[in-house]
Amino acid sequence: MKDPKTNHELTRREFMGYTAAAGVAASLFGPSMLGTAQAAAPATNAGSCATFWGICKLQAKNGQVVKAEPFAHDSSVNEMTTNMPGFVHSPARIKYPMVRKGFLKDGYKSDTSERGKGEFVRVSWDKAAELIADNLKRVIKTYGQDAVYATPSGWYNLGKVHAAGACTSRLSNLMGGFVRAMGDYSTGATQVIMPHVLGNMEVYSRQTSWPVILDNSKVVVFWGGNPMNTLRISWPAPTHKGIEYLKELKKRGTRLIFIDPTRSESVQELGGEWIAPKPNTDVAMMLGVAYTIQEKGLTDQTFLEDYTTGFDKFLPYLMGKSDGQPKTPEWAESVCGVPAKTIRDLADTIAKNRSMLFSGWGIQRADHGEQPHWMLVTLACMLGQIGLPGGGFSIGHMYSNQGTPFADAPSVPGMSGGKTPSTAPAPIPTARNIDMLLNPGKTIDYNGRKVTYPDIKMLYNGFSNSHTRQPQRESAVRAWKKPECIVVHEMFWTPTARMADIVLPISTMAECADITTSEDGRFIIPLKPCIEPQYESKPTYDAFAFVADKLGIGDKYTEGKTGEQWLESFYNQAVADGKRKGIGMPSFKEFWDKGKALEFKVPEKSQSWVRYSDYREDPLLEPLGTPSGKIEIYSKTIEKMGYDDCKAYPSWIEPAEWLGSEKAKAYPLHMLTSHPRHRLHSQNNHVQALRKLYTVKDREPIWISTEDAKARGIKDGDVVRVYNERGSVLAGAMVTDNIRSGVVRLCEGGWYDPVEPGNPKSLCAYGSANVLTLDIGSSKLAQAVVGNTSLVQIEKYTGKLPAVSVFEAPKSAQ
Amino acid sequence: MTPNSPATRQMALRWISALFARELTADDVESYRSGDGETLLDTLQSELDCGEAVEPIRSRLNDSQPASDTALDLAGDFAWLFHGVGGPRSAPPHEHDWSEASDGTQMECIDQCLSLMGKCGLGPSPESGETVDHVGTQLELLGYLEEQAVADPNGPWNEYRDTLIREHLDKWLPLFLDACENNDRNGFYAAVAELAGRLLDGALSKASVRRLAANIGQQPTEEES
Repeated sequence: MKDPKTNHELTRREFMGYTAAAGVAASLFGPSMLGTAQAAAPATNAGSCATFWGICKLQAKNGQVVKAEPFAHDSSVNEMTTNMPGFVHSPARIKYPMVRKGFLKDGYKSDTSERGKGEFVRVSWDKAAELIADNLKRVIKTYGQDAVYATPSGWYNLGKVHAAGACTSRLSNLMGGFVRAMGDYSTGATQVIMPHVLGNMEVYSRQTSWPVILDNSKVVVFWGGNPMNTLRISWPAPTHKGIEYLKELKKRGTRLIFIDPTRSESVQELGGEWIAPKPNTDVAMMLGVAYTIQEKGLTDQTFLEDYTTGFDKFLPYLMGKSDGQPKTPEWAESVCGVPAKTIRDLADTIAKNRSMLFSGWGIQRADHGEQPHWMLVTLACMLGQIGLPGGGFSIGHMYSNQGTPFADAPSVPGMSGGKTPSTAPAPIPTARNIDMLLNPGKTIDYNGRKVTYPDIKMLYNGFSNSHTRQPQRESAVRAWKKPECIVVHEMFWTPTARMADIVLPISTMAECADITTSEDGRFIIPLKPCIEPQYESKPTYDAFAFVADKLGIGDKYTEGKTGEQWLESFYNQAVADGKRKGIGMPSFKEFWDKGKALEFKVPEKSQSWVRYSDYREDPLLEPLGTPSGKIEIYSKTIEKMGYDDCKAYPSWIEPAEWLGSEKAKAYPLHMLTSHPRHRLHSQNNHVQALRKLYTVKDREPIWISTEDAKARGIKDGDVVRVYNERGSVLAGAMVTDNIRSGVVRLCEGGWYDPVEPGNPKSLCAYGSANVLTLDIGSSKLAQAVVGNTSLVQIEKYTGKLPAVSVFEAPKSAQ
Repeated sequence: MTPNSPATRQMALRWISALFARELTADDVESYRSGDGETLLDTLQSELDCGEAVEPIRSRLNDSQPASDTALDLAGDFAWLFHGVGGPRSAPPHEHDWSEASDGTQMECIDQCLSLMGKCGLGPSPESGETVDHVGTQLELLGYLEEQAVADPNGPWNEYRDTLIREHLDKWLPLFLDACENNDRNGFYAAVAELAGRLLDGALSKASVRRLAANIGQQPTEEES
């Protein structure tokens, strides 16, 4: 041992004792974690919060959220709302700016195989933002604007100020524009086909008011969809009116028919009839129904003539004159597995009653996903009830509480993404982003034009759990090793954050001042934080503003305003709008200080609103936005595109994988990736109290029929391996009669948890469905995601069980 | 080997609490190699009755890399264990993380710690950024209370110390240290945990010690199916 007297300034004795150590060697011991005493009574605070799953009042104690009290006007409070404390204070929380170790050392030339292996170190905000700014500038200067891809953000913090999508766009546009995405993962196929058919996307449009349906619909068909799950969330803050209306529908004895391979929670809770076709065969079944209607002379020819074009070109296909195959119920049965008699009965029922054809989005998240809703609209046209109270179709009611009557309320603006520069790179179809990363320079078709993939060198992920959302994990893991730099803004250590080079910690909704509205505009809600941003997290807007500042565009980004100032300005613009509409609102100070939601009246005319009634009343004065101004059963625009995978009229096209395909011999189970009940996609998967409600041996549950389980020696509660040639996951078997034989349900949104991080082919220990799904575009038209098109095989897992590692740390052995 | 002197033990507690509270810098590593830090290590090694447990720490700090690279590696290990990067292979540094019923939301332990600290005339440092149930805070508080108990034998300090151990440290620290030992990938924080366990061996209850011993050798990454 060296003589401390001769070698060092300090002596051993000077270290001795708690106080001496802290005083003498402060640089080694760092600042004390002890300070002066606080007030004796615990500091309590309350704030209002809104999430995509509920509005609530949060109670905080000593700087921690301890309780969530649901909004008094929420008619169907769910456990995601009441578990908000667990959402905020999760061990999965990202506390500090983090940089991948290799990236910090070697910069953009680092070994990217390190991504996903958990090699991170903490840095300051200054350092992290400087790294982002330096790399953004470098990449744009070296490779051009089209070398940066801003991954799309949709869901995340709910609010007008801290809207991640707008904040990302704002940064992108000020930097000259990054490559951005077109479309979304929820409705990618329908939102591209419907403008050709109806002149608008339809999926996010205002729908017939629920009271009209309650009073007039005799039959409501749910063709796909699970509204008792999907209506638990919405993109304006939910008060869950849609669930209330569904329960009322049941109470009134309306005939409910669910067409779904699963007897979903909705069927179970609402009752009604269950028809279970094979997955991805809905178009064939609809054609069987349409054939019956035509054959029985039940087609409304007048409606077709007055309001549609192209039925005459569709009819030969339906009747088999153009392809030699009449689309009889027997033919349909051979494809979809539903008995011909059931198909005939269904046709008879919906043709002879005021019928509302609801449809979910799941059936279009499939190969050739453009077809089902086009065919649904065609079917509705044949019935001739579009625009009548309680009749027609809707592709919206099962989401975001559409159909809830709107209030007369001032409009509250939100953060603007700014104007996209004319020189900005062309966007790409959102679901093709992995194909883009892997195949720069490749040209694909998209909705009548060509899209050439740029060579992406930098990803800017301003909020999205891409590594759970994107199909075919193996491709995504490979693709995310290609860029030179990946930035992720996140609250939690999601699988996506784990793949980043630079991670910025973002505050939850409980920590941000903001403003939002309810789904029906009835309430304007102040979002008052009850706790400070946790650790070193920043609210979304502040985080982007910080980065913008390092880029030298801080002033342009903020326009001199803090988040709170933007909030006040948005409110004041709503006040001005209210004045124009004759609706009074309190001053911002009064609104904010009171911290209570403002309520606005729902007018009678809103209660009785019927979609397409104006078009039905006067198709010449109220034409649709299609080339013909009518509903296009045959689209000349699509005909001109000449696509071999999307004809000019709705048609049955075999999907890449289904129970009738050759591949089913090796992988005989069709996997559905439905929306989960206790999550918003992947959000909330990290909340342990919620996982306890649904996981099986810590794994994502997979529904498997009693027959299929028995054939494989699988019992309820077993851990199973689900696999195909794209990968394998573990899941917890839920053996049930609530699913058609040959079909399994593994809900989307489970966090990817590779047993071998970084290995694209790794087994996923938790059960992320997108390990197994197929990454192809739905067709040349929409290039949409096909998450419900995949075949798998299942076996009981008998190996050593790997722990689920993606969420949080091990708990005590209590 | 003679029992630890109170001053040595207090200094060690303060040092360990700091190691669990924040990452080492390159300057820190340099210091441990040939500066005040080295003196500190020498002191602990010679004065503590479990001084041999310091050697693995010294060894890791004196690897063959430049100090900046060693600090970078250790920062990665720190993030893996204490910032949640390692998932269940990490070592959550808060008492509330280890409460099965809490899901991170049961703040009773924070209330209790605040109350106890308040009785001592203390509160959380505004700079720490951590809740008061953090391992660094609780270990530093333990060292403080032990020093106060020596300086003021008739005061309430031993009672407070016993409360801290009985109501808090006993319940979770063995598990935390065990997680450090099992999950640290490169050995430094495992060695710090080993030293902490040895230092507190007599302070924690026998039940905790038994639990600690039983947990050693577990592989949290795998369980029997």
